[in-house]
Amino acid sequence: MRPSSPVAPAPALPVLLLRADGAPADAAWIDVADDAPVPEDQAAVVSYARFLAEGATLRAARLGVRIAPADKVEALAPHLARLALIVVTFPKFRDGRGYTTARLLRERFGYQGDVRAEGDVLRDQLAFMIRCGFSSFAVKDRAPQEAVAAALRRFSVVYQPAADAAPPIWRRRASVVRAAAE
Amino acid sequence: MYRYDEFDAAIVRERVAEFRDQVERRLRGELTEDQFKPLRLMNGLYLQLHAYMLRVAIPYGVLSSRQLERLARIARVYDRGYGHFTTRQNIQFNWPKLGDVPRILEELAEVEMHAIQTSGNCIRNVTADHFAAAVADEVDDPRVWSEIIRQWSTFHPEFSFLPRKFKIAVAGAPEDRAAVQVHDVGLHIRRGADGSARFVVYVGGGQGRTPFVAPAIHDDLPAEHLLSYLEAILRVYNRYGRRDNMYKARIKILVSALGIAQFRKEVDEEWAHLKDGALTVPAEEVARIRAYFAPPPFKTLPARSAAFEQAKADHKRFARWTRTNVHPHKAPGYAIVTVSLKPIGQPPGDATADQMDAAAALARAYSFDEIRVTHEQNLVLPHVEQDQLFEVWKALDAAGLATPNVGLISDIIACPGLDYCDLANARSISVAQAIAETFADLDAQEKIGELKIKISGCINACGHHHVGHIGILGVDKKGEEFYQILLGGRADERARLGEITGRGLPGEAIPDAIARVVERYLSLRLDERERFIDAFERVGAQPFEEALYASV
Amino acid sequence: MKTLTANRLDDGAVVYWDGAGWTTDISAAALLGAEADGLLQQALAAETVVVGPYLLDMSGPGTPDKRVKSRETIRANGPTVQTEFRAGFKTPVRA
Repeated sequence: MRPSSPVAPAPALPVLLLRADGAPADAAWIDVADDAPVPEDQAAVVSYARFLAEGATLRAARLGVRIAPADKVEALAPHLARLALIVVTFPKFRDGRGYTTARLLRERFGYQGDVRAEGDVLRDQLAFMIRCGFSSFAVKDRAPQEAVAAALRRFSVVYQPAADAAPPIWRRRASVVRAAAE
Repeated sequence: MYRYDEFDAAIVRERVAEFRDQVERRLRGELTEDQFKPLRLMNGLYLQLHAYMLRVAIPYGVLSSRQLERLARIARVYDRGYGHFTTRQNIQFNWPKLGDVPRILEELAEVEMHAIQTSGNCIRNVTADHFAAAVADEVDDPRVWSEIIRQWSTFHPEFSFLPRKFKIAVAGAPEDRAAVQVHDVGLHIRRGADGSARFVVYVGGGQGRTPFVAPAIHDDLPAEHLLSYLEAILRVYNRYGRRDNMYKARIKILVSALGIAQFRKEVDEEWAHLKDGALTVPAEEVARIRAYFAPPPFKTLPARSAAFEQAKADHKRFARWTRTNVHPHKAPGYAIVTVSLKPIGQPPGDATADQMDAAAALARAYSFDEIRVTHEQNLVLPHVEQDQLFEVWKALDAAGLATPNVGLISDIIACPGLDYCDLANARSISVAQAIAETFADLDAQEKIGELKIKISGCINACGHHHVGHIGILGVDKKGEEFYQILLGGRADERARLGEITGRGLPGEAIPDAIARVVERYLSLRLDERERFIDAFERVGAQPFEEALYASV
Repeated sequence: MKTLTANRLDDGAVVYWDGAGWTTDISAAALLGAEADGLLQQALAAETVVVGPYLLDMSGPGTPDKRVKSRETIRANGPTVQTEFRAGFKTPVRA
């Protein structure tokens, strides 16, 4: 095992809010701390715990919730119609639980609002995130727009079905076979 | 064998282009090492003790002659003239330059190969029985299902950042040659009541720091549900596997903590949503893939070859080789040949570029263009006419590939160990060499019979020491290499973990210690048919452990 | 006594700081005193030539400390198995 050395701090990267189609994402959302009042005339994001505890009484122009890797997304299912934004946090890029959270929101619970990835979100995860149903990102990158554009081009073909519209490979193969037969 | 269509080719080509860009950014200083490391690992590129190491997948251990020749070319042009076949049906190149790796990946893509998901916390290269479609008692061809799993798992968007790596193995015959019960998921195909292929699904096996033999989670899974069931297992693991401690992050720890009944319940709840959905493998797709694995055009031959019998009678060395390295084939008049990569005194699993070319040429001439790579670090020519075995043997012998020791004490599995690996605590290859030299006498090896020695240079257990009949684990004791011995493990359909013996021994004491264990076995076995592992299971560890420490 | 070691970015070769640049020869490695930590920080801040730098305890010129001997000897000299070198392993003689 390589002896461990002190690690130099990584250079800070700019963060930009982008939609999965590369356009700027809705930046009006404000984060509200658990002990702060929710501003009724703004787009407010509250924590998962607070939303579940006070959900019925929360009033905001638009309401969003922030869900961490260990939070069970099933608990949000009955309330999805009230939520315009669900922020899925990635405290570490190696922690892949958020991908499952997003797929469940889209595929199991039919959520139609904005699903946003936030935290340690680098360009190399974006293509996977798009496939799992994320619709916006707070991307840390020196060139976030280029990063998102590259992610959109990343897979011209995919093998497996996921939350996006990309057909699993056997459907494409079957259509090639049909086209050849005609 | 499977051939890429336009879609498979596009996926691999796009990956090479992406990595070429990443390497160029790194060499220009635009990416830091911290940023680059996970990216290179996703392409199988490690930084080891002395150099980079590129791990190339050989999906379920199947190679064509053209592919093996390409591996030889890569060894010759970009490396130091050899490659190392691993216990996971991969090949590792030990000396590539960073700037050459994109070109190597392009060369691999030209022959439908890649290094995708040979590292990282994702679903790794799926492994399978190396005798697939060549043995008589096979229920179904594991390559078909392995290829379906390979495609499903490649760039899986949800499961590329799992708590830890994830290994799947598939066996299709009653005898398990793929060690399925020591994998994260093991699939053992059996025949259902209606004659269809069904899977027994094992989950949570593995070696490493906390070894487990996997319990069965499903004993009758219909084949069309394979992917939805795997997706349910992976999803439960992705959500609930531990991420706070890398040594407790494998699925085996989750299965063990919940208990198999509770884990099954979680999987069944998830599966209820996924079953019969988009992951149900269409029969046409299974048929399309199965067609690639259609049996080669075997000739109609008599079961017994007079030429083969005569050659055995005339040539003692050839006859000896056939006793150990030739296995019965399902087709009359054919045989399976195992090409030993364990010449006495050489690193287990290494092959030179010339040897790879020689094996490829033999496969083309005598084995329908097919080669297999075994998890025991040998090669296989799966379909050889018995009439031609003598010719094959002469060519293998000339290439240094005919050591008659398959399954014997010198057919040792060993990880690269401290000679190459950045994680290792002690050397493995040197110990394997020293043991093989101790037992170099072929008559003595044959008298001892089947005995599997497996050596790992650290607790990660790449050398499978937990399931060796005799397992050897290297440890570091204040800068000195010591070795812990385990006894009685096995990796077949009756998998069990070896029992750890007493204190570790210094490297130079190991060959004699093993020799004492073997002598004890020879003195207590009932007869020549009682193998070491049978004797161990009859009498237990104690007599062997006594012998191990007899004179130290 | 310490020396600064790393792997070279382009080919991964094991290298040592010789006081002015990087060398593959451990016997040419500079033995460092108080300046060691500063050199390590510089190497870590710019991993453009070498990768994974760390300080290695030495017992004398060209000689890694006993506690890291097996690993660092192999790092310095290369694999023991592709040459005839077999340090630490007598070839046992048995009938």
